[in-house]
Amino acid sequence: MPALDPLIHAPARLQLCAMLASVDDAQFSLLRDRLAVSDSVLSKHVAALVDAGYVRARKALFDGRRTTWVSLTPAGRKAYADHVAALRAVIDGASVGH
Amino acid sequence: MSESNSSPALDPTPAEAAAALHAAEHAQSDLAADVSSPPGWDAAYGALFALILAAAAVLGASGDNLVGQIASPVMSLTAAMLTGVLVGRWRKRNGVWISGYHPGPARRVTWALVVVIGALWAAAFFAGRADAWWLVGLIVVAGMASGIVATRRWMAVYRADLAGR
Repeated sequence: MPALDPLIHAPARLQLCAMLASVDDAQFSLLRDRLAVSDSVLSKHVAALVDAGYVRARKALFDGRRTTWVSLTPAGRKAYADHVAALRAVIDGASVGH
Repeated sequence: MSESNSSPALDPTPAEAAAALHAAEHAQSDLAADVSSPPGWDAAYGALFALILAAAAVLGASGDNLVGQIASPVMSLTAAMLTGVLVGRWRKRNGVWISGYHPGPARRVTWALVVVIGALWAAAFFAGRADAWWLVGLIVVAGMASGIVATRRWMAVYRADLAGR
């Protein structure tokens, strides 16, 4: 049974991963606005997930501006899916070992 | 949302787990609901496929004709550039990119379109080789219609999938 992942358990990170799981990549500013957090807070979340190999961040010149695009890696996609499965198991009353 | 970096306890109650999951799925479905195609997206995508199929017909008809041999790659290159423009417009409008091959049920629509366009490409090539330009015309129109229908269907399936979670 999948276990809860401490790296994506925080609400902002879980919602960040949820949004990234539904797209190929997303602009940093869009994620910041949707999560209603500051640039620095989102940067910290993204950096932690990048360090874990769950997220990839790339800078690109887009529409005349330098923008950052964030995407889930295959490992991040799996970690998110496993975490959601673990949450469902908790909801269903199953024990999640930790 | 709080800007706190602190994580909640890793042994949530069923109610806490349900709340966390609901918030995540809500963020996901909200994002999907706000995604929209730029104006003329479907028609532009249809035109893109029409151009690709016309290039196949010109390639089939070219034989030793240098003009045809040059025109087909130029048309294909134009289609590739048009694809880049379309992707850029989508990204600018939505702040996200979702390829047709994104994991999920909508990917089946993409694969169906790939099969249809692949078959039409071969048909256009041989119709061009046979100088059956009336048939090429029909194939190009069919490709354009397939592109328009598939892009609309893809978006509907994508949204329904995320809304239904």
